[in-house]
Order: sequence, then C-alpha cells, then structure tokens
Amino acid sequence: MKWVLAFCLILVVLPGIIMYASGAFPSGTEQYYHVRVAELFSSFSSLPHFFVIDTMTFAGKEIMWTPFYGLTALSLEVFSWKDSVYILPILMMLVSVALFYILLQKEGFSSFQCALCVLVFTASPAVVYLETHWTPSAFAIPLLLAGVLVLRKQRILSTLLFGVVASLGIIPGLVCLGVLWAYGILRKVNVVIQWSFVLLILLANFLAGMLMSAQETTSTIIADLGGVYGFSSFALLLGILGLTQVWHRRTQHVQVYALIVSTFGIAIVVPELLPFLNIALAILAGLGINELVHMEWDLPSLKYITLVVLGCGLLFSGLSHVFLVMNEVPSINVVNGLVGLSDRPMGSVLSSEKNGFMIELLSKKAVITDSFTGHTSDDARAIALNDAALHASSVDEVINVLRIAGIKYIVITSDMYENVWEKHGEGLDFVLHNSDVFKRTFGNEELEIWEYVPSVSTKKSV
Amino acid sequence: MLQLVKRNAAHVVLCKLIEESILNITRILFFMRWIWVIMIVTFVAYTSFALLTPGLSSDGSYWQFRNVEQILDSGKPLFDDSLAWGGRGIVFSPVFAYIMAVPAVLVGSMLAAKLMSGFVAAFLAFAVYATSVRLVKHEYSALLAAVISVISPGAVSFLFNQISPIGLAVPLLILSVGLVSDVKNEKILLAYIGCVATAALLHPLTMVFAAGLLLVPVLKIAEKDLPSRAQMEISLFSAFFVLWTEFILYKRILLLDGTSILQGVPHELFLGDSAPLTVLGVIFSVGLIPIVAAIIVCLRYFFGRLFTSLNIVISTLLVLSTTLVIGFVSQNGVFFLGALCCVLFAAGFARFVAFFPLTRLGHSTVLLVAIVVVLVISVGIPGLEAFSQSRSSFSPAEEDAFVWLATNTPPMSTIVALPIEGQRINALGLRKSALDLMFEGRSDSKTRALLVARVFSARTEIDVTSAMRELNADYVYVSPSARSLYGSLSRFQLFDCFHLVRDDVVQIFEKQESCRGVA
Repeated sequence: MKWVLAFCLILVVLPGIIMYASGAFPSGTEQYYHVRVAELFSSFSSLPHFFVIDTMTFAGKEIMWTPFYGLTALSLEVFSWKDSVYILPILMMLVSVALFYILLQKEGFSSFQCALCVLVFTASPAVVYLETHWTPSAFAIPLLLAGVLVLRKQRILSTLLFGVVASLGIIPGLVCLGVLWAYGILRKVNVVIQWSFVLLILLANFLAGMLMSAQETTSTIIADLGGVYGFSSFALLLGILGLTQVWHRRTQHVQVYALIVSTFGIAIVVPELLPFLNIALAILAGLGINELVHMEWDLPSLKYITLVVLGCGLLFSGLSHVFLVMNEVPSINVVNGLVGLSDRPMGSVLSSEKNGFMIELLSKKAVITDSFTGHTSDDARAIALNDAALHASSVDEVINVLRIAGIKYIVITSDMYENVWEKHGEGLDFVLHNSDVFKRTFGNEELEIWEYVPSVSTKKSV
Repeated sequence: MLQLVKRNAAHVVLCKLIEESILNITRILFFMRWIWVIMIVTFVAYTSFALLTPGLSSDGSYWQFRNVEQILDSGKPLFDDSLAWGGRGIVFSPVFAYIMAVPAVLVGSMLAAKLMSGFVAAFLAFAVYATSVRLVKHEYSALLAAVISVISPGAVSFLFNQISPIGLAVPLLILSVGLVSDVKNEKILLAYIGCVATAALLHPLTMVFAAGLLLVPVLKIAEKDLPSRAQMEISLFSAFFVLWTEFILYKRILLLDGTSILQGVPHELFLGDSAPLTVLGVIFSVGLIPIVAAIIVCLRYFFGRLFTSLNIVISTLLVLSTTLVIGFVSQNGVFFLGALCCVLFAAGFARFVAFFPLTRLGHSTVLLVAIVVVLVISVGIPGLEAFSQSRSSFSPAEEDAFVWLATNTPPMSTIVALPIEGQRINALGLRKSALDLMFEGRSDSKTRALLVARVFSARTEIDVTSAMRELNADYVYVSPSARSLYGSLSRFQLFDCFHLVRDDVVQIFEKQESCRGVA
C-alpha cells in the first residue's frame, strides 16, 4: 500500500511540475490577489502591520493580517512570487495527503482502506485545484488534519492549529467547529477548550471587522456606536451575565430562548426590533446586576467600585444618548430655512436622503429620496440620480439630473459635509459655488438653499 | 472634671498619632533616602538642561502647550483648533492639559512645561524603584534600575524638555504593575485603582497593560497553577474599566479610524523624514543591557520557573512586544517597554548579586562596583546622544522665523511646512498650518500628506500651485529639515508665482494670490 501512497504523492506534485516546466504562469486569479496582499504586508515597514489598506481596489479596502499572508510573505522573501505560488500549494497538499493517511491509520482503518481513501482524496477535483492554486483553503486543510491528528495527545498544539484555521475566516472557522463537534462525539474526546478558542478567534475576527469599518448594521445594535435604537454596551454585558444565570433553565423554556436568540439575529438587519428586544435585555441585565450584588468577592471594595462603575456606565449611556438626540437636526436655523422654502414656487428638492422627511414636512415640497426610499427598480434609479448629483464634478452632470427629476431646489445642511462629502468644495458643493445657473436663496451656518435658474442657457440636453 | 479628662485623653491620642506619622514618614524618608537623592538629581538635571534649551523639544509638546494656554485663557481645552490643518476639531483626553494647567497658573506655561519634564523623569525613577523593590525585594538593584530608567536613550527622547500624556502615563502604569500584586490590602487596592484610572484617562497605551493583566491567568494555567479569585477579579475589572474608558474618550476616532489611536502616526505623514521602527532602533532606545537582562529573566521564567513574582511584568512585556512587532502600537510603546525592561533588569541584577559571592572573584567589591559603572555607562552614553539630539531639535534661527511669521503675515494665513513643524507654526508663529502629526479623526490625513510632499518635491510650478490651492495655503516654510529632505528647494525662487519674503537659515515664500494652479 505504500506504493499507492507514493503514487498519490506523485499525483499531487505532477500537475504543478508540468505547468512550471512549461513556463506557464500560475493559473486562476485569486492567488494573484493573495500574493499582492502579502507583498503589501511586508512592504509597509520593516516591522509587519496588522492591517493594511489596499489602495488598488476601488475606494480602498482595509485587509487584516492572517497567518496565511504571513506564510506567503515569508515565502516571497525566499522565492519569487511565481515560484511561491507553485511551491506553496504543492507543499501543503503533500502534507495533507501524508497527514490524511496517518490519521486514517491511527483511527483504525486498514492499510487497504487508507490507500483507497487517500487515492480518492488525491484524485478529487478539489485537491487538484488546491494543489495548483494558492488559496486560504489550501493552507487550511493540512492544518485542520494536523489539528485532528494531535487532538488527543497534544492539546495545546491542536488548539493552536484550530485557532490558525479559524483566523482565516468565517467558513474555515465554522468547519473547525463542526469537525471538533463531530470528532468529540465520535471519539468521546473533550473538545470544550478547542471549541472555545475557535469561537474566541471568530469573535475577535468579527470585532476587528467591526472596528475596521463601522458598518451601519453593527452600529445600529450598540447605542454607543451611534445606533439610535441600540443597546447600551453595559446593558449588553450585564445581559450576558444574566443569561448565564438562567441558562440552566433553557430546556424548560426552549421556545422562549429560541425566540430571543432568533429575534436578536433578525434585529441585526431589522433594527426596528431593537426597542422590543430591549425589554428582554432589561430583564437579563437586571438579573446580571442582581448576581453581581449577591456574589461573594475576594476583594469586597472592588465589588462596590465595580457596581458604581456599572451604574455610572448605564447612566452615561442613557445621558449621552440624550445629548445625541438633542443635537440631531433640525435646529431652529434649519427649521426657519425650510419653512421659508414652503413659500417659494412649486418644485422638487434635491438633498441628502436623511433630510427627506424634514424637507417634505416643513417645506411642503417633494424630494427625490428620503429614508423610506427602498429597493425597487424605481427607487434604485432615484438613489442613483441623487448620488450622481451630489457627487457630480461638472455643472452639466448636475443639470442633467435636475431636468430628469424635475428638481428646482437644492438643500445643503452642515452635516452633509461629513456624511456626503469629506470637506467643503467637493462634488455638488463645488458646482453650486462656481456656476451661474444656481442662485443661493437662503443661507446660514447650518443650511443653504439653492435654486436652479435655467435662464442661463446650457448646451447639453438629456 | 470629666470633660477635662476626656479632653486630655483626646489630646494624648492626637499627639501619639502625630508622633507616629512623623516617625513613619521619617522612617520612609530614611529607608528610601537614596531614591530621593536620585529623584532630586534627576529632577534638577532634566529641569536645568531644559531651562538652558530654547523652546520645547518636540512638535507635540507645542500642542500641549497651546492647550494649556487655552485652558488658562478660557478654562476649556482646545477641542476646536482654528490653526492646525487650517482649522479642525480634535478628539483627545484633556486630563493631562488640566494637570499641566495647575503649575502653569503659578509659574507660566513654558516654565511649567520645563518643570513638568523634570518632574515626570523623577517620577519615572520613583515608579521603577518602587515597583522593583516591591517585586524583587532588593534595594540596590532597584536603585540601579531607577538610574538606568532615566538615563536610557528612550527615556531621554521621550521626556527631556517635552510634555506629553505618555510621560505621565508610563510611570503610573509601572506603579500599577507593582501594586496589582498586593491588592488584598485595601489601601493598595485604592492606590492601584487610582493609578490605573489616571493612566487610562491620560493615554490609550493603558489598554496594553489591561491586556497583559488578562494574560496573567493564562500564564498561571500554563504553569498548572490556578489563578486566585482576587487575581481574576482585579484582572477582569481592570480590563473592563480601561477598555470602557478608552472607548468613551476615543469613540469618535474608533468609529472613523479603527485602531489608529494605538498605531500612532502613519508613516506617510513623516514624508520620509522618520525611519520606521526597527529592532535595532528598539534596542538602542531601551538599552542593550536592560533588553538582554529582560530576555534572560523571561527565559528563566518560562523555562526555569524562576521570578514567578514578576508574572505581571512579563505578561505585560509579552503583550507590548507583540503589539509593537505587529505594528498595533506606535513608537510610544518603546518608552513603556524600556521601563518594563528596567524592572526586569532589577530582578536579573539582584540574582546576579546573589550569585556573585559564590564565584571565585566574589570577594572583590571593586569588581562589582566596576560592573555597575560599566552598566551605567553603557546605557548612559547612548542616552547622552539622545540628549544632544533633543537639545538641537530647534535652533534660535527657527525661533526667529516663527516670530517673523507672527509679525509679518496676515493672521488668517496658512503655512505649508513639514508635518513635524506644524504645531510650532501654530504655537510660535500663531498661524494656520497645513499639516501636523495629529492625524487622529482625520480621514484626509494621507491625502494632505501627499499634497504637502508635492509642494516640496514637484518640479513644475503648476503642480506646486495646484497643491497649494487644494491645501488653501499661502506661504511655504522652508527649514533646514525640509532642505535636508528635499534638497535646496531653490526652484521656488525661479517660480513666478512665489515671492521670497524671508531669506535666512529659514526661507519663507509667499504664493501670489492670482496663481491658482489647476483643479
């Protein structure tokens, strides 16, 4: 059977060698991206960075370091990029085949069975792809096999290996969790530590992703991150503590637990559920505080200080939200301006989507988009027109949009210089201040209203 | 009669209390006499040389200086700076500025800054000594560590003639490292919480300490020793409190820039002037002997199960080293690293002193003294070099140039200069600067850095004027530093759009208003 193994190893190596010998460039596209990112990580300074910005993608993209890029960067120090993308996947698949064989033997498979399994594995299209394409999956598979192999004898090494696999992304992480769970059941092995570590890595990845770009959905859940319906971070922490107090009753009230968990999951994309979920959180947080108060601490003074800090934190979240709400537009300056607009002749208004409701109510004029503008094809067209006008770089582009949408007025509020543009003098703001066809009819430090006066002829039409 | 007796008894008790306090203080003063000497010498040395040095030795210090002046004028910190970056809002913790304002009220801002630099250096010596004595329990090693901590190049580079929150935060963190080992004592617990809370309010580097505390139970478990409940409580509380404080203070920056509050100034902002952090640079900054001692102590801890009392120092060192290597923490972390290495050096040296008598030359006190002198010199000589660099960072000719700006240019002018000169232009020239190193919360920092670099490096007039227009700038400030980076820059004299208004060591060119370049 060792001949079969040797044959499989040759099968792994052969495609790569043939392609390399023929002088062909590595096939596929994904590995070119990974090589370029690995070069970015090693080029920024003499010490590696944890995050890099990929300026070659549109609008730039922030990328987090993973061990996969570490190994690629290391290989690029020794070999050329072309050699690296040939050598690395072959090496990884060779190791995978060997580990797979050893693992099967250890699990009690006969030599014949091992050989057959390894042969099928080696000849599978997936492995053929992975041995010629340097991707995170090619990196993950041997580590996963190694982790399972040493799970019983070398727990720390196994934990580290699973952690490295989980750091590559959500899918490898979920695969780790699944494999651990299955192996734990089949071989009656305690995998709690490995499971926890993988979950920790997944959570760290998630939090890092949240920090890298505060996305709308995650920031709506946490009030301290700007979510208007969001939870206080303190209440969340206390809620988790409270949950641990009632977790033992989950089997008795499985429907309630399932409802709360699924509602929380839905609330990530439907923030309107958050005020209702807040009721459940308040109960859990209350239980959490109760647990803290009655818990015996080795340092009693620390307990009181902790309770004071938690109390201040809860109050602070609420108070800061009060200030946030108070400072939201519209201020009296904005209201006066928009009410004044209601006296002007009829015509639609162009502004930021967030100002839509305010303009509709106060100036009694229609807007192109407001916060209810949805995802139908008409709405998408409206959003596209609105964005095109706001980020236009010439007066003709703006006039085109105004004519298509029948717009007569443009409303600029001070917060648009942070939300829409990065600074003054960009996009529509630049056009308005440098064109004769727009007349400023109202202006104060928080609001400008411009009117489109097409008496100056323009050459371009729709 | 009864009242008289009671009054007498109270009087006796009071007298006894006062006597005991005086005795305790005298005992402490006597026992710690050498550290007081070191602190006084450090304070006097740092302050007197700072007084002999014109101005302050870093650009960031000038921003703190302006902040203090603002507080003295209006009581409020400089959250809206009308001069930096042509006018911008800044997110920062004002605690350090308020602390500085207290002596500034009495002696003036500049003198307070000089005194503060001396005070912080003395405080660092005390913190290293106190922590070393508490953890290592060997006074002479602790004294030597305290001396090394204030003469190392890193300490001199960060502290001499400068004011910054990290200068005060690091000694507090070192004290916290020492206090956290004995938190069952209520007074020490309160002192520890005070130190950590103040450090958290001063600088986000405190998060590294919090992460180090969380690593301690992991290290203990690795040693097959369960952490005590008190340890878990204090670790979790500290981590939670520090993270919450930093989140509250820097929420806006975290939302805009992610983890940039720790990562420090992006390399692009230095316009090629400052070398990135290297391993050799770190060794030079910390000192070879402290680093070697720290490495040996760590190795003996992990593989020899020695120095178990230093697990908090070692875990913090591990976290800090890792975050420095991966670029998660800026060069400010090197200062903290140096102080931690000094504590570990104390431990290593104490062990060496205990081992030395067992050797063949163990009877020779002279040899031991010579070793100590060599150690001090090996750290002190690079420290002297750092000292001379700090002294020469700002010449009288440049000071004159800033004064010229303040008196000969319109008040709303914007000046293009190197980012490391930005705050000086604001503080001394009283004019707007196009760019400085306070990039936090600004998404356009790299764009502006490219524009400033273009002003200095572009060969054609139209490129320069276009960049000036985008920066909304009126003058170009050509210092010796700019010339060393970009060459003689004499091409400005050939440009029609630029008029040389000051020709000296520092040249200043005015852009004609009619020249707007292209969009």
